[in-house]
Amino acid sequence: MKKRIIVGVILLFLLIITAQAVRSINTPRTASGLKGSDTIGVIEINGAIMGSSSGSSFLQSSTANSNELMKIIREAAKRPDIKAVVVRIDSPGGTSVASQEIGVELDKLRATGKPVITSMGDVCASGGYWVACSTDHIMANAGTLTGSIGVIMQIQNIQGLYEKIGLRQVVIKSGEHKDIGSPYRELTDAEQAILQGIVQDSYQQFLDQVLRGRQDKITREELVKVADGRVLTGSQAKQLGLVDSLGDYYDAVELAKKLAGVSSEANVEVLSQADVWKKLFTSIESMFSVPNMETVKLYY
Amino acid sequence: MTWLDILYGLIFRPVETFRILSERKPLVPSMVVFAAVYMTDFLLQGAGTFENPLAGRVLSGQQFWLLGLIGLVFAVMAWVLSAALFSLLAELLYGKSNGKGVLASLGFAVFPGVLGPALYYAAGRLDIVWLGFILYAVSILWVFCLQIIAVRESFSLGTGQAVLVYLLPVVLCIIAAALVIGLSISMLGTFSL
Repeated sequence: MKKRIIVGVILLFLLIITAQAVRSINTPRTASGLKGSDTIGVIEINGAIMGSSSGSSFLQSSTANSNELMKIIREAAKRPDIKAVVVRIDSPGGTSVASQEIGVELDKLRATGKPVITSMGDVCASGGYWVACSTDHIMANAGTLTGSIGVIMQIQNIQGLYEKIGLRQVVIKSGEHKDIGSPYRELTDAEQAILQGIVQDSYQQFLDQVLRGRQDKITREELVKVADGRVLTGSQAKQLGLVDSLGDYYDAVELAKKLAGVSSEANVEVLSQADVWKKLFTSIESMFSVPNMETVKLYY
Repeated sequence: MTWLDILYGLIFRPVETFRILSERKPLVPSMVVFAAVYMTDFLLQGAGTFENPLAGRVLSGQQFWLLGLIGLVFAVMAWVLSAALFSLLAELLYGKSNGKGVLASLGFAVFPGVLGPALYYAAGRLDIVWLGFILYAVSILWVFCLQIIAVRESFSLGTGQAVLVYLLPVVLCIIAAALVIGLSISMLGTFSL
């Protein structure tokens, strides 16, 4: 009986303490306070911005999946305790649609009246800058690399390699341009013109997005001068009106609190936690997958 | 011998308990206890990190669990390796070996070690960190003592012999590390301009 009581008390004590520890680990990351009170949501966009088909490998540099990010942004819009959102961007860009989709969801989030602040990390260029233009305030570090406003489409031509190994692809198509961008042959002049038209249209969309996001801060003429794909430092971007202020992540959080009118003691919660298991499985999956070279994508 | 007897014995009658464990060699229960203690220890130490607002940005909950599992694999490897090493040394020095017995005993010997982090965590919650620190240190010493008893009883050695078998790998590691550091420093001197 004595043994039972002593061992029971020890095991019960361990159980209670461990349960408390597990609860603490599984609780969403907050800087302080309890879930449910005023909160500043932080959404991290790290790595290349890609659509749902692009997974990030466990060992390679990460990619920001637009589907997951859109879901997180919508959750931030719904949650009444989230009073403002800081979008922490450390991305060199990505596919045009993925960037546009994230931008659209951020616009919807702002429409709910919640301020959205961009905090730029090392790099916030191209598609990353597109996303930043859908926020109320852009804050960069002086040394942040930003800008790179432009569109790029790259097509691999492996015709020479195929000829060397004696492979020839036979194409049966319904129309002249159905296999446009095929990596197995040279582009024709007509195809070049079509694809150039797509790139130019997408570029115009990019300019419109920047002008919409930076109203009264930069004119079209001023923008076109620097929107040739060049990268700029955060400091240069501020002088040009592409960035509102200089500051680090914590300055952005403080600004978000100020704009939301919440106390400086408000919670800070990182909404975009990395799904490690998913990353691990995607990594294994990517080892066995063959890259699809026929896909033609536009990149910001 | 039931689980209750083993856990009670580890705390209040370690010598007798390890003698029985080294004879019966219950490897599976030993592994269960070892893994449970490791994971509880890891959880309790990690929980403190998660409550730090700055560290919270470094490791997500899932990353933490993954790290724990990887750590467990290495801890099991270290446990098996140490048992093998003790068995080899006991055989070489005193002609006695009991690999399975010492493995099972060492697995159980870590059990009181879980009390240290638990008490430290509880003390932290009650704002008496200094007391938690002392209790943590006591639990570490307790585990050391139990491991030496486990080695002694597994190979039927005297206490001095068990201490030698237990500490010899550590001493050899320190000597090897000192040699490496010494050689590195002398090499640095050779290549300096």
